[in-house]
Amino acid sequence: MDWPVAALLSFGLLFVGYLLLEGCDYGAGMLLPFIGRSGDERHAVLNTIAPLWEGHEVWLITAGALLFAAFPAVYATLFSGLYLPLVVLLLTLVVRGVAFTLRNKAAVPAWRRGSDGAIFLGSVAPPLLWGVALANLALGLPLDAGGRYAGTALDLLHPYALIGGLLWATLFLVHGAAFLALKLDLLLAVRARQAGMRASTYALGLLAVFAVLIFNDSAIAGRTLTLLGLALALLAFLLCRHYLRTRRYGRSLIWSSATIAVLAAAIFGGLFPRLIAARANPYYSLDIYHTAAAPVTLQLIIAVSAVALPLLAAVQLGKFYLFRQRSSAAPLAQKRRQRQLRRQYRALQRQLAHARCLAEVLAATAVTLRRGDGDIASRLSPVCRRLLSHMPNHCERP
Amino acid sequence: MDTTALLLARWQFGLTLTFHFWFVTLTLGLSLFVAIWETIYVRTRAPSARIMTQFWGKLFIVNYAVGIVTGLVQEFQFGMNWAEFSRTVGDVFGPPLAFESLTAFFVESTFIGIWVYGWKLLKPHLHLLAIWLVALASNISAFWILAANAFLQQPVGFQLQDGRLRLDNFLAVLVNPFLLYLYSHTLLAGLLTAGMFVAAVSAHYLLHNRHLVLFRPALTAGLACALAAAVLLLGTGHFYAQHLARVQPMKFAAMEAVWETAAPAPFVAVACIDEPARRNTWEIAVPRMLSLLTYHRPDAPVRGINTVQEEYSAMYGPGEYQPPVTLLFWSFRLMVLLDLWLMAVTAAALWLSRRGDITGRRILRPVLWSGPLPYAANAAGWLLTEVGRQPWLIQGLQLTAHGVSSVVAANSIWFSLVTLAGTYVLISAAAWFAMHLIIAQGPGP
Repeated sequence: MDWPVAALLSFGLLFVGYLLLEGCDYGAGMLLPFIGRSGDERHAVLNTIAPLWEGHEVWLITAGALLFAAFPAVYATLFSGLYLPLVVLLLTLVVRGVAFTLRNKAAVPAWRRGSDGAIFLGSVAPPLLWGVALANLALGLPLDAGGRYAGTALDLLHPYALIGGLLWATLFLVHGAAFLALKLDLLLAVRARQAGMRASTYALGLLAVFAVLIFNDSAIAGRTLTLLGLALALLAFLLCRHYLRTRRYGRSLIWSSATIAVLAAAIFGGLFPRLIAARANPYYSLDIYHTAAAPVTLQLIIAVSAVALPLLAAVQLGKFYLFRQRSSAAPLAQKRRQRQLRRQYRALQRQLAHARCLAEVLAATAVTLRRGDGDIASRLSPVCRRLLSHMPNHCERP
Repeated sequence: MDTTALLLARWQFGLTLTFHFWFVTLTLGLSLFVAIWETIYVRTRAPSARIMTQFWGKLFIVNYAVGIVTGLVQEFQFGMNWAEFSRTVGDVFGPPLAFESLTAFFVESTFIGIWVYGWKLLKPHLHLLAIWLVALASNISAFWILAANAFLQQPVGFQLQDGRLRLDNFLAVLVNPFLLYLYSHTLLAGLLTAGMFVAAVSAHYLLHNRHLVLFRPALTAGLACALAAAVLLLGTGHFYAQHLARVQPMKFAAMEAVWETAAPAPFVAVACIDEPARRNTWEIAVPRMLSLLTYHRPDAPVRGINTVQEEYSAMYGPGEYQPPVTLLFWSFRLMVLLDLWLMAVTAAALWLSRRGDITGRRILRPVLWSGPLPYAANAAGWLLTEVGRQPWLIQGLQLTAHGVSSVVAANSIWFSLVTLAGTYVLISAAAWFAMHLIIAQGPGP
């Protein structure tokens, strides 16, 4: 068995899995301010991904760890070479993750608005950055003889890469719109579809431009696998757009997934057996055979992923089934109103109790004054005593 | 080699590690607390157990979220700042990280969503299973990560092949003796942190006369857990230090401020250390104690920093092999003192509450204020582990200066260090605020 190829395959599965799953979350996050126009509506949009996002992000972490273990040199070159984009990626992911969790922990409007802003930013930046990174991979990176990155951060902002960034952002937007249309109800689903349709027009144009540019001049130019992949991606995207227009959102989601997967596969397939192509001197390219870890390492990784990955994918699908219910804003508003009423009710109860206690104290004082024994405390009921001193049985005589 | 870049990269690593570990340690222990409360709920159907499960569960997920996102930084950082290290060691260091993701982290982050949002969707037993999976997976995940760290402290199971480490025997990496000490010590630190957290939050409620029925048992549970962990930590710490004397004599000598080899060696309790002159200006020492502690023999020789420095120079070529002694010496003492203090406080509080009611006792305030102390002890412990290994990145195999990325400029690291530090401050403030609100609001609907 060809261990490096198998390791590449399991890395590819994890990375594409990440793009597909987290793509829904990024898309939903990008659409958040457009679909959710009130706090409750945004809450409803976020509820579609709240139980899922942590499980999605872990695909990226696993893909990274697998790359580290299976192709250490590629991991080292890629991560140190793309230093600044990765820093921005990490910052946005950190803030977004925390905002997801903390958003509903406080019922303060400013807190929620801030969290929504962080989620939006944290959902826009990663697709752009991944688009830039993937386009650069397709273009080839400037490498030196030792296989280290030899360019600057500005070299990464090649025009192709910028088009790539916009392309992935709009693709995720359409992907997320199809997902939301499936998961939201009534008006929100309609808005998701509208946004998806508008974004898909731009995505289609960008995809066509990107395909032509990349196929003409890049590290993956002119290869049959690239051509096939790009053509299939275009076809899949047209189908996705068609189903979105005809309101068959499930199918639309399947085809948007296909587009993303095929496009990623076209880039990695075009590079194969290289993982990072060198832009200037093709001899410096890093391929899977020269950078692979020791066979023992590869075999271990493949054995564990062969057992773990199908199980994890099954659990992931089970989770989609478990949380299949559509999310809507009306019950959230109702719940909020209920909570508000309950709070008011409790406050009223407290005031009543204090009023009762006051009456009791006054009565007891009157009795004490009449008798002249100075013992008010023992004439109070335990309820009243608890309210005054937190100690129901505390009534020592002076 | 750019020394500024090296220094900045080290600062960034230390900052991320400390920050990540603070939140993760709490979740290691707290997940078990939540799981046990839910087990009680499922078995007895007592509403109070359900209220407690949900209350501590809320605090748990706040910490969990910060832990997960900083873990992402931690993992990317190896390739970003330590590319040469990754290139050298990926074969051996990568698999534990990959298995951590595949077998533990994956399970944890998949089931945490199910647990948080599945209260109404799942039957109680399945829901309970979700939190137990989260709790077990987070503790297994710590095992894999520490397996990777133990390899840096005591490299085993590899072969050196043209400048790269090749994995030879993965089992050896898993049964690394260093891992045994490191893992048990870390798990107990997690229990101490979580126990003190539960005790301090409960003490807060008891001091304010709120929810007494709920938090009296919680206080006892937290105190008992913290006391047991603190006592056991002394034990694991003792054997851990003995192991250090065998495999990392430099770290051991530095944290005990022993400059010259001595037989019998005195235990230096307090010292004024003069690092340039390589001696202690003055010290308070207990004769023979260090030999006794380290080798269980009163006259066993203990190697000093200067001796180890000569040995290393002969073995690895001329160079400075001495970590910052003052820092290690005082971190070690801080860690041990904090552990002893926590032991005393928790024991006193448990003794005073032996008749069942602790409400209104004076001891509650020290318990409340001791809540954050395990965090200081955790930071000191990691400082000892990581700075004590310097100048090595992989003990005896790669110097830290040779592991840093050669292509990342100091300016880039300045940018990442400052922005990451700012983000950490921001998210810890947010997490603090959220926890404050959860605690102020109190348990219940």
